[in-house]
Amino acid sequence: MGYWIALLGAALAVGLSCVGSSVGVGIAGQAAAGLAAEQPEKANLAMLLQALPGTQGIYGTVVAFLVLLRLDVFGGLDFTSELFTVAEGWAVFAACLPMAIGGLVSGIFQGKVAASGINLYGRRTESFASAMIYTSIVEMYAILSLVISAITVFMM
Amino acid sequence: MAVVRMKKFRLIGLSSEKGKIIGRLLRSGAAQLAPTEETELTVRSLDGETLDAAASVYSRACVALDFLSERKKACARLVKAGVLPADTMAGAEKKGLVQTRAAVSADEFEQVELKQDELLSVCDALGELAAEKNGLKSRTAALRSLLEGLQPYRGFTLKFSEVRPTKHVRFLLGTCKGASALQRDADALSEKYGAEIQLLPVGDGGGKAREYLLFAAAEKERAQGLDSDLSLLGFVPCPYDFDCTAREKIAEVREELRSVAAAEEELERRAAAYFSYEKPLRLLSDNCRLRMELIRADGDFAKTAKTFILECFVPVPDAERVEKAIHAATENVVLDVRDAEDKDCPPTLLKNNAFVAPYENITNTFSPPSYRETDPNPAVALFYVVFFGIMFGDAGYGLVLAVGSFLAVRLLKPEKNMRNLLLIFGMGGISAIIWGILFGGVFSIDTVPALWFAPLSDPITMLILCFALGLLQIFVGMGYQAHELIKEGHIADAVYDVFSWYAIFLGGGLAALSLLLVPAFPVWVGVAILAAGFAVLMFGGAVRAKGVIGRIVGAVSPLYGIVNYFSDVMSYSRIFGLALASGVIGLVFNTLAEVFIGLIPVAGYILAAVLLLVGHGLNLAIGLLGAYVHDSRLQYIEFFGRFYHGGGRLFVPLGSNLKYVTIKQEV
Repeated sequence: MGYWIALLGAALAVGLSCVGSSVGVGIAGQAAAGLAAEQPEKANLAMLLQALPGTQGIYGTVVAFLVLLRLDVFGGLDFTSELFTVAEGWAVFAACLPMAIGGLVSGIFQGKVAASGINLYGRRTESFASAMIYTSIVEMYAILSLVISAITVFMM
Repeated sequence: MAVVRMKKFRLIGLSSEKGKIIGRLLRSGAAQLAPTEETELTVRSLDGETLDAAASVYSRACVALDFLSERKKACARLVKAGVLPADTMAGAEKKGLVQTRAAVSADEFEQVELKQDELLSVCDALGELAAEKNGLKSRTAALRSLLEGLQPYRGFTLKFSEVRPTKHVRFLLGTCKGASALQRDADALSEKYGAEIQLLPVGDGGGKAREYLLFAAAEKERAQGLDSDLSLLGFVPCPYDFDCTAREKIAEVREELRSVAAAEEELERRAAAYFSYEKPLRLLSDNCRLRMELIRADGDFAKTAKTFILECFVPVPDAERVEKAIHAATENVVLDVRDAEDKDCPPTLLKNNAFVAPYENITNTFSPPSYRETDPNPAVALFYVVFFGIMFGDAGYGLVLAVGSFLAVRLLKPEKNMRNLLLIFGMGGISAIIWGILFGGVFSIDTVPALWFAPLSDPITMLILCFALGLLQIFVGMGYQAHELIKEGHIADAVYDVFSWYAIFLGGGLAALSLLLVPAFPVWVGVAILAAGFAVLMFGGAVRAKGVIGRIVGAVSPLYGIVNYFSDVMSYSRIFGLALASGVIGLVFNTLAEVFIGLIPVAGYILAAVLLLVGHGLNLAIGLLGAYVHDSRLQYIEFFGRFYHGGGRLFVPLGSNLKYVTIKQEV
């Protein structure tokens, strides 16, 4: 049973983070496409800004992968595994939560900032760096979530 | 390794020799013009007429260049398709992978003005070609839409002009977008009006066709209202009135389309004859750019009837050379050279060694240092390259990055900004190789032993390493802050705001050391230093405030700094986060590849190879973006936040701000 609860945690970590990232990249992508229509020469750098909210999905994958390693999934799924007790399973589940929640919410907001950043870059080319920094400030919180989730999984 | 000192030149010369003197400054490549101070005897005036003339030549050259570059692309396509012979492109310059500006001599640059009339007539000729091209383009579009409109009538064998009412009968021809019950509706109408209505499906759809050709015949007297009933069914009357059948017309249109296409090819061929003018036109466009810049600068010179005053900034190492060049140009000049002062707002020129110079890009993207500020680039370079390496933490990726970047610099010879960026990546790659060896990371293969420790099995050590490096960078930043404060004479502030914190961290560190690791070392030493640090910090806050309450608040509020330091240091955990992400994602692809090899006998190896190549390539790209952005952010917010103001203007010598060429330095 603990095995399945842990697996559920991994699923949430990667699933919700990917939702956050896809919403974020989606919002930023619309802004980037709008900019590219007006000023095609700025399309490439706008794409960089669009890519920034994509990292939450990656961080979620990292956490999920670490859990899968702990569960020894790559040695084959063991449906009767007694690897974890129920309490241990819940512990892994809890360890996944920071990434799941932090990834979901920060991805969406980072996407919004990235979209505004793309608009800013469209109007003032020299503000590209500022746009990138604004966007990366939101990412800090995804990184903190990753660090805590990953360390907790490691420690177990 | 610093901000280069500037001299300010003030020069009074004869207006008749202005061109000659400015020509010398242009050739020196080391003078930036500045507005002059007004005196009572002088006036300023902007020569609007010449400015307009230059602007007009400039815009004509730009339009012609745009047109030429479009034609070059079109021509290259036609040559590739085999429509035009390969030598059509002979006059065109080869375009490199990265755009670089050609170096030309100042003489060549100036002499293009002599050819201005010839080049402007080329612009006119190109303008005519452009108009012709537009005409052909819109003709093509019109023919295409006519062709499309004719398609439904292909099955109609009468000439369009033959569909005319007779004495008693009306004919209706047109198309109908088919609703499913169209045939039934048509039958109902034909009964209602006693009309003959034929429906002919358009295209190959047979009975399910979406569009129908509709031909109706009805007695004039009974047909009142047939039109409006038909239009309710979606009937669109035929707009054509040609004296031929649809098939004949279609053939005719196709023929005309072919001849228009031929005319377009012919036009490309004629345009190709002008490709050789691209270089002189570029020169002319840059020349006008400079001319406009000079006319505007001239508007800021103070002038009398026969003389002018010019001021410019020249870097100290170039000052003597520029001075000589001016005196070589003419004897009728009064030249005053003095050290630039802060109130002159001199521009910033940075001089750093080959290792540090590329990182000026990072700092300048934030904001270049002002003239009086200390150049932070040496510290930025050192920390940037170290953090960059840890964020990758993989020797394999580092090797790919270093080899790729340095090769690109070598082979493509890009201009300054691109080159600097590539050098930053290349050096970061070398740093990643070193850290990769220390961490045992080579393409995330998990059997490679670590020389120091493996972050994935010892994450806490890794986190501590990141915090320690972060703290070190913050300390260095505070050092810069103290340096600036002392330079300005605020020694007390440096003690209160910087050294107190040094004491707090040192004391705290010592106390922790003796408590945790070295019990023999007395704890009170650390605690005493810590307490002294806090005392100085609070004293500093209190002594600079006014009133009793103000002093209490002043003493307590610096303690809030602890939170700042804490969150700043925490921010360095991103280094760990990025290293972890890139390491684990690499591991994901390695694991998947193993699974493939295990599952599928032979093809598994090929699949695994493709997966590894694509996967690691992707991981490298994402890692590069992340490392670049987050490493920059650490410099901008955690490091610069401690001391750096920026706000400088970069030194832009006369003639360096051109689009297509650079001018060789000659004097």
